[in-house]
Amino acid sequence: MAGTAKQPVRKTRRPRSETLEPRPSSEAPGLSPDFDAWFRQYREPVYRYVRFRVATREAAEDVTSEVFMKALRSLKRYDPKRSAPRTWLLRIARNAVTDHLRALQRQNALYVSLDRVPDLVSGCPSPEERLLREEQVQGLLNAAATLREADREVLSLRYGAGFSNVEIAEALEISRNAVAVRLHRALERLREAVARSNKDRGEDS
Amino acid sequence: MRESMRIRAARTRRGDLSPALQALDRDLRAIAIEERSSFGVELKARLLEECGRIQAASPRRASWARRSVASGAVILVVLGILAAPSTRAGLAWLFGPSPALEAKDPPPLPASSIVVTEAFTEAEAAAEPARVAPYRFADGAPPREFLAPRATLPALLDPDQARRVVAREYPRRLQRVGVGGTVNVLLWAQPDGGAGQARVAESSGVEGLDSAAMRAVRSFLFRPATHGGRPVGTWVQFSIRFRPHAPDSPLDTEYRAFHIPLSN
Repeated sequence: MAGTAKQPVRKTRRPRSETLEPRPSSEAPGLSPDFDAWFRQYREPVYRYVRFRVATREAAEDVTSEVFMKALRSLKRYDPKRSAPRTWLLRIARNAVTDHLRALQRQNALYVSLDRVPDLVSGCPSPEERLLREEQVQGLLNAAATLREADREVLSLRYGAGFSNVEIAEALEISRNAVAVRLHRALERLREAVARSNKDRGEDS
Repeated sequence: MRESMRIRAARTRRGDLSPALQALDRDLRAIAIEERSSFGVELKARLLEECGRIQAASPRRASWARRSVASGAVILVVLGILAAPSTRAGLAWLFGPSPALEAKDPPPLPASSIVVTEAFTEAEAAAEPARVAPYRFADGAPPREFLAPRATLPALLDPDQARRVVAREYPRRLQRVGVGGTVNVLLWAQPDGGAGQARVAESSGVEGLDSAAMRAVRSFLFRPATHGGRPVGTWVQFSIRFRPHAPDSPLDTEYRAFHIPLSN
C-alpha cells in the first residue's frame, strides 16, 4: 500500500518537550493565600464547634467539609468590610449545622443517642477513667442537646470552638454583656438539664 | 431585672460563677475534642480538587460568554448591512439576484464520502476490486454493498509518537486534580501525510482537554490513504481519552472511522 503512495512530506516541527515539564506554579490549582491561611487558622475551631453540635465524629467531618467547600465556592462574594473571616466562616458553619440537624429531623433521626464519644475524651490515662469520662461527657452533651437553640449556640462557641466572650460577641453580632448573660443562663439551664437527666436515670435504675 | 442581668454579666466576665456552675464550666472545658489525624490533610486535598474544578470551569464560562456576545454582535452587523436597501441593490447589480442572501451552509463533510462503519484490514482494502459491506453513505442513502476501487486506509506513521504528543499536551493542572475525559476529533489527513483541518466532533465537556486534543492531532503524521493508486485526503476520527489516574498510560488514543472521498 505504501509502495504506491507518495512519501509524506514531514513538516519540521520544533519538539515541544518543554510541555512535559510541570507548568509554572501560577497555573497550578491552589487555594488563594487568604483562604489557605483561614483554613489553617480556623479549621480546628470550626471543627470543634461543629463537633460540639452534632452527634458523631463522622457527621462533624462531613459538616466541616461542607463549610469549607461552601466558603471556597462563595469566596468571591465574601466582603471583608462586612465581617471578619472568622465570623463569616462561623456563620456558614452555623447554617451548615442547622441544615444537618434539619435533615436528621426530616428522617426522624435527630435524637441520635451519643453512645460513644471516644474522640471527646482524649488524654485520659487509664481505661477506667476514660470510661467514666466518656459517660460524663455523654451526659453533658445529651443534656445540652435538650436546650434551646440560642443556649446550644453560645455553649458550642465557648466550649466547642473555644472562643472568648469578645469573639462570641463578634460571631453572634451582639454585645459582650449580652454574651455574658446568655452564657450564664445557658450554664444554669444546662445544670438543671443535667440534674434532671441524673434524676431520671436514678429513677430508672 | 435589668440590674440582675448586669450582675450576672459582670460575674460571668470575671469567671465569678456559683460553685455548681464552676464545676460545670470545668467539666465542659475538659471536653477534649480530638480531630482524626488525617482529616485536615484529606479536607485540604478535597478543597484543592474543588479549586481546580472551579478554575477549570470559570474560564470556560467566560470564554463561552465572550464568544456568544461576539458572534451575536457579528450576526447583527451582517444582518444590518444585508438588510440595508442600498446593499441589496448593490449586490443585485453585481451578482444578479442576491446570491449572498441565498448562500447555504457548506456541508460539514464531503457529500460523496463513504463512511466505513468498521475498519477493515489492509489486505481486504488492497483487494481489487474490494467487496466491502455494508457501506453507509453520508448523504443518507440506504446501506448497500459496494465494489470499491482499490483503496487503502490512512495510518498513523508512528502511533507511539502520537500518544507521546497527546500525553505532552495533557494540561498538567487538570491531570493533577483528576480531570479527565474523552474528546472525539475529526481530522483531515492530507494526501501529503500531514494533518489538515481539525475539529471537535464530540467535546469532553472540559475546554482544556478539547484544545489539548486539537493541538495534539494537528501534529500527527500519516501514511496517506490511497484511492485508485493515488494518495488522497481522508477524514479520520480520533477518540482521545485523557486518563488522569493512569500514570503509566495516561491516555489511550485510537482512530476508528474513515471517510474516503470517491471524487478525490
